[in-house]
Amino acid sequence: MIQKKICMLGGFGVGKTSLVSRFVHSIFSDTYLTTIGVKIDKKTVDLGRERVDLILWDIHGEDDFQKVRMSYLRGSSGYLLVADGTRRASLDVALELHEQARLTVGHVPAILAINKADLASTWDIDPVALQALDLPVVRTSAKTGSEVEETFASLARAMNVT
Amino acid sequence: MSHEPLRDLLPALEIAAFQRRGDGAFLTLAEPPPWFRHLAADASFPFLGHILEEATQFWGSSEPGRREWGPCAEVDGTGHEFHYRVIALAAGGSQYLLFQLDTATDQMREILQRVRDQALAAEQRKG
Repeated sequence: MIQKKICMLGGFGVGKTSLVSRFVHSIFSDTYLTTIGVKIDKKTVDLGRERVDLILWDIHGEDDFQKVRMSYLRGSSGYLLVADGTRRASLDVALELHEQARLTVGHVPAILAINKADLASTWDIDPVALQALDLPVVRTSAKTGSEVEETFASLARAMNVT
Repeated sequence: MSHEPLRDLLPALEIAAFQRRGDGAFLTLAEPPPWFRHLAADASFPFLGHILEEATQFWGSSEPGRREWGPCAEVDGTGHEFHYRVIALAAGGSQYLLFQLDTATDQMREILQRVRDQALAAEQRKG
């Protein structure tokens, strides 16, 4: 079976681990548990004509205390950038990581997930600013599961044709 | 060389150690410690992904020394999260792959958890 590596990139507390947990294990916890280093998980997705093993690298969030080492991205077929819709600064972090990732792995497929769609009424991110970005943007909720499966499937399909 | 002393020493140091044979297969040097048995049921290490590819490149370079990856996080059967590091070693003409439990990172995580909880709370107060 084909294996594809996907990296999860974003600031701390945006929901990277929660998105992976929702996608792989169909579970969600409201308790925030910070990630150190990398958690590796796997899920098989059915893309119609073939099945692909997605190897998910859930990399710790970027902040002043922990910088993301781009060496984690080696061998990635794509990456999911994650920002927290309720924290505007987390979008800047995700976009900065996007620039760094491009320098490391080139123009592989990437999607920006604005997470916490269940809190959309308190979002702090300008939708107009999102339209100007040069990458697909989706609104996800790890809590409700909204758009989570679809986002990983979209990324898998994009990787499978590159 | 006999690996007899290593059989007690390596698990006591929370290290799972393997020697890489010429055909690329891994031979365990000692019974892995309990934390590692949860991680890998056999010595093929599919969870390592590109780490194993990079380690193979390192061994192929025939240079002595070590390459290290991690920390990697994993959850045991009781839901407890732990961390480990992966080390590729070339020494004395032999190639080794080591997995070492990283308790220092466990402690660091507790500190960062508190710092980030406070940072998130401060952001919410500002917002």
